[in-house]
Amino acid sequence: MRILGGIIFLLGSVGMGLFQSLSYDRGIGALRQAADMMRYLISQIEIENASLPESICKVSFRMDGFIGEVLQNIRERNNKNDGKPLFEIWQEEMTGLEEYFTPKDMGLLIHMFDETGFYDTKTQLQRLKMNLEIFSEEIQARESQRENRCRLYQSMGLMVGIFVIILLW
Amino acid sequence: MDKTETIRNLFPREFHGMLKSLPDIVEDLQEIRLRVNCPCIFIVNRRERYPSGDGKLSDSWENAVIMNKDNIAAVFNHICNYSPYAYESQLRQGYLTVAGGHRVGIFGQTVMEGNTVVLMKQVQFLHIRIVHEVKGVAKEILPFLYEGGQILNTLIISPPGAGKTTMLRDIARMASDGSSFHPGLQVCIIDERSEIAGSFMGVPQNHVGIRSDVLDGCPKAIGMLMAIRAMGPQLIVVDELGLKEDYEALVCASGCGIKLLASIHGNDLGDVWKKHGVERDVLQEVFQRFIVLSWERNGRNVKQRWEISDGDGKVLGKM
Repeated sequence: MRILGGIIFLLGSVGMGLFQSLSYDRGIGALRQAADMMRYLISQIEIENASLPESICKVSFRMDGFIGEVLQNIRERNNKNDGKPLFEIWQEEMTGLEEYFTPKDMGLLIHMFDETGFYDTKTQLQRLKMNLEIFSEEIQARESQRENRCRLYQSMGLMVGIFVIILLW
Repeated sequence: MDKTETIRNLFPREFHGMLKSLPDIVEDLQEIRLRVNCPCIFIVNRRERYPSGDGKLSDSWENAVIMNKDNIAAVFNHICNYSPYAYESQLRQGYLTVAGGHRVGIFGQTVMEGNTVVLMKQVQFLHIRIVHEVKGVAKEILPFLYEGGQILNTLIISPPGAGKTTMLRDIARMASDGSSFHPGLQVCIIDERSEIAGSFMGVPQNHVGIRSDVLDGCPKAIGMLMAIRAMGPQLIVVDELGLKEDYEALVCASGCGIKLLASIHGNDLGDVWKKHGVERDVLQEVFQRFIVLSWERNGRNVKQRWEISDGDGKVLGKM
């Protein structure tokens, strides 16, 4: 029974380590989706000179996953036209993505459309491109650390498991 | 979306209280005027009414909502969908067309480059013109526009506010849909200022006929040539002739055997001939029917009057 308990505990802590490394991967995936969303929005504005609600509407049809779902909610709420400003609807919906992003990334996403009302396409695009650059740099930084981090989480999971077993044995 | 909703949607939430009386007056509401540090004005049946914060309308502006700079900015941003850049070309011309086909005139500070307005900034004055699509207004006029089963080139002459665009739209719609005494025509509408079809995101907000194609926001002269080359029209519809190129394009279209329906500013035929000296020959050569519109007030009621004449000035019908 002790051996069985020990094995179960070891598997559990290794599982925790794996879970952490998968979460790290998921975070990179979420950033990539957010970066794709920004690229699509930029192309809508650059090529079609579309307004923000129109761009969000078109991109919502193009994207899948959790970001696609959030964009669809924004599209539906904005289409209801109850007088709520777009950036308020955007902030409320984006807040629901806290589990996928770090607080720093969430801050960027939530406040992405706070400064709307630019008279020229160039400034509107510059703002979006700046956000895209920040996200791309973040993705690059995390990708470069990915191998080490995942190895660290998995090793820590295994070591903690072995340590506790030895301690309790 | 019904008309009340399309008007209410022009305003951010904080102004919806002021619009509580909208469902009762929507059919008679012609304009909403917003001016910085001035009371908000509704023009209802050509009379000024002032809305209070709780939506009550009155004839005096004592309790009226006063629009400050921030209020105007909030409404303007809301109308532009928080993306003025997307409406650059319209802003330069001083207006926006919004969902429902309504037109919002904007005034503020212009940014000039030489003699060209490149931007309208510091927008402090908004003039919301409510579109009222009146179907059937051309029903009595239409028979006068046909001869031998063919529609004739028709020019509508009218002063501002007499229903010129409404008449133009209805003639286009009826010509496009067809009826028992005339088949439907392939109609191309060159809607330079988005007033005829009132297109929003490319979709006409007004009924313009089942056989009508709309080219939105394109200068008339360029649009007419595009229509001739690409859309095979039997009738081309344009609003507010003015530039020299417009008349040249008219002659070209007429030369291709395409029928024309157009409008021009003026109080009557004589006024048009006086104002458009050089183009008079073109107008008289191209058009066979002239509809002169006017309106008369009878107490609280306003009635539209029309008179239709042929190329020789002979009056064929009037109301």
